[in-house]
Amino acid sequence: MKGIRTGPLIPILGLAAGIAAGVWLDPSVPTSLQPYLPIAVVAALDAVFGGVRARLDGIFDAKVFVVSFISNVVVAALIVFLGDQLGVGAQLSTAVIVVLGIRIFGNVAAIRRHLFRA
Amino acid sequence: MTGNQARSESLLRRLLDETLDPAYEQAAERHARAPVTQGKPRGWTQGLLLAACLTLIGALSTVVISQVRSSAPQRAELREALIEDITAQRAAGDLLQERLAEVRDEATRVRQQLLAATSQGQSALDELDRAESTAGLTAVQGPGLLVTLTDAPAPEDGGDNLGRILDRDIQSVVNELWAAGAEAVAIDGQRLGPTTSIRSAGQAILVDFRPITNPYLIEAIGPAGMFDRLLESGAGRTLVSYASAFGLGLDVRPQEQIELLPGTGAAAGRAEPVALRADRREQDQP
Repeated sequence: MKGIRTGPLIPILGLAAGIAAGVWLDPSVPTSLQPYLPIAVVAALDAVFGGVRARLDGIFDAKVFVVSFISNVVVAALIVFLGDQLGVGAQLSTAVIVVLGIRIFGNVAAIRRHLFRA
Repeated sequence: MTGNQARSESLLRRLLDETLDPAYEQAAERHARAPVTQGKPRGWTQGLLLAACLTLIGALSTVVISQVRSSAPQRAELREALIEDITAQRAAGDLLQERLAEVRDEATRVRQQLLAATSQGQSALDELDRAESTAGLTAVQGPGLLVTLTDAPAPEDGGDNLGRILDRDIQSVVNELWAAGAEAVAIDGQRLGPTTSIRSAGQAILVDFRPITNPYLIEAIGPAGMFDRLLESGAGRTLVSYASAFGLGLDVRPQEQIELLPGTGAAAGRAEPVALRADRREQDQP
């Protein structure tokens, strides 16, 4: 397989650097963006678990990961924004969370099968 | 099983089974068919992009977590501050109200002194007194009625309380009292003037934008026939039937002596007395 190109070091280092930056810099978020951030985080988590699973399946591809991460976050935020404009923001947020939650669960289950063979 | 059912089931099944983005498999297939020969540069840029994405994800999560954590106490603080503001403003309002009453007393006293001197002034004074007492601007006393409306006790199963007193119950009692000849009415000690409003905002009932609470005391000075006329009126009968059906409290007692405080009166913004305007027009024309 041609999929695996990077070791686990780079992603883990990146994640650690991001957490450190978030803690130290503590950037303030514009109020207009605040409703979309939690959804964006869940969408990002979905992309991350998808990536980990793909890596364990041996078909990880950095380009696919980057594109899926960005599109996930943008689409999730967009759906919530649209819902807010239509007055169904809370319901649409729930819908997004449910779908992403199911995917995260499924991917975590696959990861578990890979790691523990159970 | 109908086609629709099968389709919706397959949609659910797909949602549950295909948790991995199909793009990964497609990319893997593409690579298998046409193995990429590009070497390090592509790997490096992709690694960098990957690291950048994960940095972003880490930062995003931390920011959101810290924000959610910090906003909860902020909200409580904000609420406290708002409650303090309301209490302070209400106290300031009460103070101003007292001051207004003092100044008005003073004005009335001075006016009385000046007008009582002439007979023309005396008749103007009488007219003024009548007008002011109808507008609810003077303290009055006399025989009348005390109507007490009480919310029914909340149902034990936590359902809607159908026996809660609503703004329109109070409105109808007050309207019937006026119709029965009441000369002065007050709700929970607050005197009603010509422009007083009785409305509800959420769960609270407001009289001239000040909240009143259960039990609701409605005092009215007026003729002795008010008692019968109130209970025989449409609103009175409706309330009596509500009282037996929903358990709300309705109590009407004649009182020998009721004292009512003056109301705040309505500040006229645009309206001015006709006579005054006529005077002014004469002044304007030379």
